[in-house]
Amino acid sequence: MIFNSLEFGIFLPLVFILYWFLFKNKLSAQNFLIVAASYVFYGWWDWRFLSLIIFSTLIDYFIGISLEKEERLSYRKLLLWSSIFVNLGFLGFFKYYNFFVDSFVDAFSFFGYKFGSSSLNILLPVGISFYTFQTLSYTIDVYKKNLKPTKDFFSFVAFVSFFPQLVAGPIERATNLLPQFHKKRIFNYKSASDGMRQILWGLFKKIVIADNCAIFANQIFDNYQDYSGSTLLLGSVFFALQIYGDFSGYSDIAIGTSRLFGFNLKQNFAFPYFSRDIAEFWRRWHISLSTWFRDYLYIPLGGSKGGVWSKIKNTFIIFIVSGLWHGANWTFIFWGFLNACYFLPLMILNKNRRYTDTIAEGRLLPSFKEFIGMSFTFFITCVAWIFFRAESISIAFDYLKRTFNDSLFSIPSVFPKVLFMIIGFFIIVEWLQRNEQHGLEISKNLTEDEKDKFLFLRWSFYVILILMIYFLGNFDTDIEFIYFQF
Amino acid sequence: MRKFIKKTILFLLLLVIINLTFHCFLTKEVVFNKYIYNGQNLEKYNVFILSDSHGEALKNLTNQFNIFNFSYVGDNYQDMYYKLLYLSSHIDSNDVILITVNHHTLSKYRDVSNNTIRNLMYVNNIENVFDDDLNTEFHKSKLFKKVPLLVGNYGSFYFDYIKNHLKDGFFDDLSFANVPAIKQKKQIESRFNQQFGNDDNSEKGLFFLNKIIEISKKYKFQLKGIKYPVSNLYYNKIKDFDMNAEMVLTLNNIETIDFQKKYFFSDDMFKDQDHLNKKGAQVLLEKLKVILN
Repeated sequence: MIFNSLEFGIFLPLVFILYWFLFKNKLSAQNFLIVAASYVFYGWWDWRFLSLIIFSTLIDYFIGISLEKEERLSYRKLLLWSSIFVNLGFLGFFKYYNFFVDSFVDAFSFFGYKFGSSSLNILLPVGISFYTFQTLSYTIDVYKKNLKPTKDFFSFVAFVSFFPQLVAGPIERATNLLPQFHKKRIFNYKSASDGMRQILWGLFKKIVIADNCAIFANQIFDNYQDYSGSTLLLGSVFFALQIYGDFSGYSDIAIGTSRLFGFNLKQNFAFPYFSRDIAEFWRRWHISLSTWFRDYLYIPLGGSKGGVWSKIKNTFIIFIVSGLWHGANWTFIFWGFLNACYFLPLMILNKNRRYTDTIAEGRLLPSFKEFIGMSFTFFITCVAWIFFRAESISIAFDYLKRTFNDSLFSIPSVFPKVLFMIIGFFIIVEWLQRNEQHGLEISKNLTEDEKDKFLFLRWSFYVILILMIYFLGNFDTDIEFIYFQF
Repeated sequence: MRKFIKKTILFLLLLVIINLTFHCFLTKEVVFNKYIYNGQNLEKYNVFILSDSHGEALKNLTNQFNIFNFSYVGDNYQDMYYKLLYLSSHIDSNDVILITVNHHTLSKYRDVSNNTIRNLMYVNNIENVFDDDLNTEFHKSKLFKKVPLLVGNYGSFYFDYIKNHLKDGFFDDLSFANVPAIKQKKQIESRFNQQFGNDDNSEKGLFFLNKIIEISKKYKFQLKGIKYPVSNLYYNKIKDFDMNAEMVLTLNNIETIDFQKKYFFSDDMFKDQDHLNKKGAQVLLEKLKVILN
């Protein structure tokens, strides 16, 4: 079931009504409903893969309880590694088996050895990378004694399978989400209405921005040999907007939906294209994954402690693993490598935490320096996206070669004026809202009276957004969320 | 919770009102009136044109010749069949139906590039032979007329309608004669590849062209083919690539008015390689009037 479908439009109110009216005063029943709803939501794609989630859940639930009872370090380590082995084993088999086998065969062929390829026809379970990382974080936190394991089975199952964020994140930490399943949820008007606004903005980003940009990005990337440099550059900009609208749109809908049920998920995107350098970009893009890698990989490796070489090694590891997490293809690995190359100079010069505030704080427009920094960061991000989107590394290099030549200064042959106007509108709204959590959040500085005073204006704006989705949206059912494949 | 429910219901009511406004004032306009150029008084006409962009290029100039232009960019024979079914309950027997039989009209590219989803709105039932999703789309099209806001992917019809109105007449005075020779050649090549890239005839197109012939016989309409002119350069390129829609009519003893071979249209009468501009449309309609009389 996808968020921008009629099925979800029926599913969500139905679960909402059952949750708040039928099971209002029973916490365990509410958790059970969330589990049932989540399994229906996931099984809508392919019910067979539910067995994987159930198996993963059972393993981590029992390992968590055993870790609490066990004091011997060697046994605790064994339990932790069992969880890591099972979870990463599933992920490795379903996502990376063919990639490693094919790369192995290619590598040996290069040296003159011949092997028959033994690739398997494996179907990738939707969202496996997301829920695997979520359950792993639970076991690691319990092992490190940062979290007490839960004995409430349904709370744990609900934590692993919570439908708003099950298939494409945000990747929630057990320390944040799991305790929320133990507490009685009280309906909060402010939170729920803000959740509705966040859902609306997420739908706009996905249906209007991402899916319309996808049409042009696909056309340009699929036929890149026919286009001028300027059009190819535009193609990478369209893809940058597509992937942002798609993924942050999903996160907005996920966070908004969770709020309707009384849960608070962490912000996953903080207007990353308004970043002044690449370090700031990575603090604002896919925050739940970046912080996961930071806490469970970068810091255990030594982080930024130690000598320069250690820092360089750790930076490359974290970016390359992050690339590999996105998909089993050398293009993703190169994308990670390229981002490490962008990041490294800032880290070595100790300038990677220059910008921790919001751009143009307290001003309407950015300064010239900020504007240049933001434009340059967006430009190098677009270059990296070319590797992310291309079919192979050689195609990506060819794409770049065809981009940066004399034809870069010609008039692009693809020039969708209406889409440019929509993108302009989108950028203005996001810019004005850059201090908030999402594009439609009402400023916390406004009093209730002030909010009511602008009710007519606000509602008119929501109606305009709904009509924009209706008139300008791309409802092609073949376009799923990009991050489902990761 | 009460406040949340109250506001949600209020907002939904607002959307219902907007939906009703669309339903009452806009949908009919978009679906039935301005999408076709002549308005809805079908009874006063006795000649009807069913075509793709070649017929659409005649715009509402047909009005002065008392001809109803029911053409639209991208229409294929399935679209024209649905439109003919709609016409059959509004017009008289013996009325003339002109159907396009240009070289490309039985090309397979029309299976993909067409207006079938929106033309489903003209009919009350469908014969589903080729498309798995057609039944679903048919029901959605019915729903769209009543609850437009609920059928997301139909919203683009309003947008296209607005866009077409904004640019209506904007390109009608362009002249292919003024296009530099290199660009002419490039345009011709690209158009040719689009229309004749696939050698096979469209099975679907043939099926619905035969249905058009069948329904015309049933309602005793005078069905005639019409072959629109194309620029000389483009004609030289396509003359050996006819997908033979005209022959299907000939085999059924139906005549075709051929504006390609028998009449001369200079390059300044075209806005591009194969579509008439305003001047060309006027000339064609005058000739057509003489032929039909």
